[in-house]
Amino acid sequence: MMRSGDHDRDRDDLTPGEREAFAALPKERVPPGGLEERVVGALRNQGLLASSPRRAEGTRIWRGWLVAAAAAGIALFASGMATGQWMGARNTADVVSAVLDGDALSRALQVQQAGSEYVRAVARLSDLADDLEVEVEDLRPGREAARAALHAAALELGRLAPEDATIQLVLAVLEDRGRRAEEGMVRTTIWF
Amino acid sequence: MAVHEPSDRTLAGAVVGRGDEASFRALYRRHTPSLYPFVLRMVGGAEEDAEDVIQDTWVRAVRGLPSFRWESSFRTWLFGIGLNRARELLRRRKRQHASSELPEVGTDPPAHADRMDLERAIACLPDGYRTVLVLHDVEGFTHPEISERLEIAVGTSRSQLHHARRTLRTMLDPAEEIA
Repeated sequence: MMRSGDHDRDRDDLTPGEREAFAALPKERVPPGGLEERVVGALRNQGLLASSPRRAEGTRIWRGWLVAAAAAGIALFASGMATGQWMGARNTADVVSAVLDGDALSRALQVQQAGSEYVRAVARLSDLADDLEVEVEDLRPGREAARAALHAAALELGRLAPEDATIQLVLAVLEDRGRRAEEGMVRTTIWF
Repeated sequence: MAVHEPSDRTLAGAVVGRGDEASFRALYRRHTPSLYPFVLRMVGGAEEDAEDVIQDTWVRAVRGLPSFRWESSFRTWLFGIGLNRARELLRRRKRQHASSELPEVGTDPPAHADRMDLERAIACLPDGYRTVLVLHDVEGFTHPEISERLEIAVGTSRSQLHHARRTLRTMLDPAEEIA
């Protein structure tokens, strides 16, 4: 930002001592320690930066909270997602007919609410992942639970719409991942 | 062996393209050490305010990167955003002071300060004086540049600087000049 050479005559109003005093003012300064993390956090929260890998050290949080938070999302998601897919898979006439039916309408609303709640629950989990004081291990049960819920929902969707190639692909990926996990590690999924 | 540092443009491209955190941190560490004292002076030495402005500046910069045309340097562009954010904070602070009837920061230099250091004296200047003085005497802008940046007349910039220097001299030593 410093300009040179083209400074106008007002510069002459300063005495040599004054110029020296201004020139001696520090042009650089180490920013406060936590500021970088604060800025990065703000950018992440606004979706302007991707999430970073977790750091190894930090304080521990209560696992039960994570599991409970994930459980709430899972329960709502599993019931809601299936109904949503059912609605989506029907033709227009069926949908109109279903909407006229009070029970179907009520389930459709459940889908919308449960889906939103699931996304919010996972987002809250992701927020924890952005917290530098939360350890990776503490997040594992939540991640496993979220993934398991996704798998369960995909199974339901496959039952509802067996002709849907996208769902079949998702199922194939999830089942392949599940097989490999069972071969390589003990599962930590908690079912409700 | 010299280590090749990626350019601002390369780093910015990685931030825009894939939200690359490491590239952002590199940009932050390259420019914040000079942006911070500039903003700190602009807001009259209030560190918490300066931190808010720095955060806001980077958020707006990253958000605006896709439309930045690289006709100026990244640093110049970033400092321009910092200047605008600092001025916005000063305006907000002024409104708050007006509504709470508290004295405006910088309008009344301490009566007992026969001598005070230059940094503190700059912080005590009224916002308008301080803005022009920091841009002109510390950062080296010309009056036409200040006029363009602040959207004021060149004559206003000159007048503000004149009053700023006179006030500063009085604060530093009634009988002497700044040094």
